Amino acid sequence: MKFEPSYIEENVNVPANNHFSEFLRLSLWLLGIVFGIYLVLGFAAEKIAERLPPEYEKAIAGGFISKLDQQGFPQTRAYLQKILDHLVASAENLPEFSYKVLIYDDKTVNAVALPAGNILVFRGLLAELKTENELAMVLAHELGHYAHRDQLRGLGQGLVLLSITTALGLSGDVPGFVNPAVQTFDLKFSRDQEAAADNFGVDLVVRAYGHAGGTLDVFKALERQDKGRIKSPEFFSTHPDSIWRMQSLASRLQLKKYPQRVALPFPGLGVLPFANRGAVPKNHLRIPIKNYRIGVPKR
Amino acid sequence: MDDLIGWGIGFVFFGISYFIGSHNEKAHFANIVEREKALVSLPTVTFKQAEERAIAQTKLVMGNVVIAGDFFKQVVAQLASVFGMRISVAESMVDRARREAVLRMKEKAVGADVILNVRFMSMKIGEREKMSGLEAMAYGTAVYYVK
Repeated sequence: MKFEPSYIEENVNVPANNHFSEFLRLSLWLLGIVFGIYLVLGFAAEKIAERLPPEYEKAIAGGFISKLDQQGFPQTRAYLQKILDHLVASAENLPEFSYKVLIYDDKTVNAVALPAGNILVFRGLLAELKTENELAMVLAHELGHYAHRDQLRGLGQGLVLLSITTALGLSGDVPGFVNPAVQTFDLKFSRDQEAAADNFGVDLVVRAYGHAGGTLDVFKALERQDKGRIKSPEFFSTHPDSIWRMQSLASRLQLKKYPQRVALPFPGLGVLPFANRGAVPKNHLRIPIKNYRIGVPKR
Repeated sequence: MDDLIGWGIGFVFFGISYFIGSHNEKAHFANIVEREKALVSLPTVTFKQAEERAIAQTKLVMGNVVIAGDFFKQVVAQLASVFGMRISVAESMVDRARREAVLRMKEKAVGADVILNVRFMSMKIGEREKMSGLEAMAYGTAVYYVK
């Protein structure tokens, strides 16, 4: 047997496809699977949340509400609680909770509906509002979330999302992009929920105060906030654009023929923590917090 | 904000790692092919005896190489491991390492007629659960027949 040197150019051991297309293929697979699990489990969580008895909800809330309760601003709390009690007394279809206002000392312009009737109002929001009716509109909007049981829906979906990412071991260094992609999809639901809560809110304010004066001004305050920072496209934001919200609410006011009267002013100095009026920096990058999401906003 | 910065840095590294990594890999493959062609006349075989000829000298020769798995490849490998798919980015690493090891072994055996009984060894180098690097070693017996 004679050795004949010859060279074989073809290499079967290295795949012909490019590494980047391999990466794209695998990421799409992963996205698709996570999406599928999220849809199925999210649906299940939503169904469970709708049927969860109030006692269970209280038990869930008991675990973390005490941590958020800063016990600050006693006068402001008493004032907000008075408005809230007034609204709850005029409301229908609300779950049986003892509704409570908590004030969170942070510049964020937001309010959050937490489980079991705990409404968290940020100090930053109070500084933006001008009249009692605006404040009532905010609280009524949050009550709308309870009427539609959104606060638990968010909790359920959040838990599903967390479980999926943890199960895949993705919370570490690998594809962080999976997470935001799933959350963006969720926003469509969320925006519909916000719009529904707006409608509930304005109806409730009219029932409690006899007119809709000042309700639109809340969105003017939010819009002032929007102008201060880089505008994100509507698809990426939890809340519908403030202008869009204002327009849809204005058309509802016309449709229902709600009267407009002068809004009640805030009580005298010392009741509201106005220390930071105008203190929010112009380009203050605000992390959007879902109105029903659980937990303290980080960073 | 911290998240954004973290992701930004991650994406930049990922991109840089892909471009530099694939450029290096291409260059390495070109180099391997060129050297393989130059050394094709030296046979490397796995059997222990080739010809019934008088042997002047035998020598143990080995070639050893370590190839790094870049950040891009680590991410893709982790993605593939979710589904149990073929980690094709690692396949090219293994191929580079083995062929380079054989070439280095051949380059050691200057003037030999044949390298008999060639064996391979490979080992992962670096942290657990990470493709930090891959070591490959090829060794065999270089045989010099009596001229």
